[in-house]
Amino acid sequence: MKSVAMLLVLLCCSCFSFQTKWERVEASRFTAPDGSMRVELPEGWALSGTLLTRDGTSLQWISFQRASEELAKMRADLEDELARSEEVSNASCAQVTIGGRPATEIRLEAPPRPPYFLFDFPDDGWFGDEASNTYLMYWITDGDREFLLAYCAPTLYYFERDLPAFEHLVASFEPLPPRSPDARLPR
Amino acid sequence: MSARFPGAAVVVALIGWTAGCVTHRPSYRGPWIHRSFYEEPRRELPATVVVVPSLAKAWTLHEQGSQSTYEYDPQASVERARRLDALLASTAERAPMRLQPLPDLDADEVATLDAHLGLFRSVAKAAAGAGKHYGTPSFKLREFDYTLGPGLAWLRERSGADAALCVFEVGFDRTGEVFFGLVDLCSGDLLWLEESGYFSAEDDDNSEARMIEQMWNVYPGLDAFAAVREAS
Repeated sequence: MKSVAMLLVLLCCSCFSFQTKWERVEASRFTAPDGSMRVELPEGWALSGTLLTRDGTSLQWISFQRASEELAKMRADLEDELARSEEVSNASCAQVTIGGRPATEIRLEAPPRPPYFLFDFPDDGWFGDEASNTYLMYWITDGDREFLLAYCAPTLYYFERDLPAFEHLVASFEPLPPRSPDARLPR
Repeated sequence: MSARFPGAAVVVALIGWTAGCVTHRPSYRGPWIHRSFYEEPRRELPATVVVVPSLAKAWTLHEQGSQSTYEYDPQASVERARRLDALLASTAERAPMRLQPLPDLDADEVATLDAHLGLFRSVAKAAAGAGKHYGTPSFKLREFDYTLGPGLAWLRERSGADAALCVFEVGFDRTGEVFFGLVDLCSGDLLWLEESGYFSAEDDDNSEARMIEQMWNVYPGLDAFAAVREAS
């Protein structure tokens, strides 16, 4: 059974690419590279693909992407796990609307975790004293497509400080029409 | 139960090496200095610094036949932290500022301080990425404005110090990587950050002391960092 921690690690892996070439955000209006959506980015942050950070990804990140089938399934898994997990605190799951579209909002607090399913990482001691992170995610449904807007930062100080940047991005979210039948699902 | 971690150093080295290959650029190793020391009105270096308890995470090498594994060692972690604290105290007269011990704190204050030390670890990890061309944008070298927020302002009142010296170490057997950070107690700004590594030979117990001495020797390094941030 997947734990919330592992789901969060998978979420992070789906948001990050190993090669990170950052560009400073100058113009706020931005069309995603796959043409699936348009959002307003926080000026002064750094952008790599569809990943944003102000200070570095180990401190905070925002991801905006068309959700793959795996990510859409992860939402369902997270909802199930949140109902019974003891690994997270301050967790909530709610149905909301974003720009008139139905969305699932998941907010939870969890300690940072290494990808211990990739290596034989220790699951005690490694990150035990590090600040907990708060995750805020919106899975937005638009017809047969699903989009994920996600934000993560240390709960202490940083989450609230940088939340307005994420809220602005969410408020500006605008799905674009599919360009072709082949573009219906991301590869 | 302790967790086993085979080849940890190899994994860490591989990640660092691969990041270097991706970028083809040299990695900056510190110190990192807050932008307010370079912009008008220029901030002054802290005169009095309170030393907060160090945080350490240690893994010990266990050899079993042809296999060797690192195991997280809580006792060694505590001992490393205590050793760092003792070394900082014993070398305080050589520090370029007045170092003072932490005043007695109540349980709530200890909890608040611990939470901020956890945040320091996260912040230092991101901040020390500046110039390494990986998860931290390169312009953070020039725009180095990391902070812990104002949650430790009470410690300024309690200690009378301008800043706190926060330390954490990650150690594998006889090697260690240590982050030293000076945190402004009013604003929480990370004023200065240094990342140091050491290796202790079997017959050498002074490597950590030399590392601390070397840290104070390079402090604050304003001119050297000015050159780095100008070139970024």
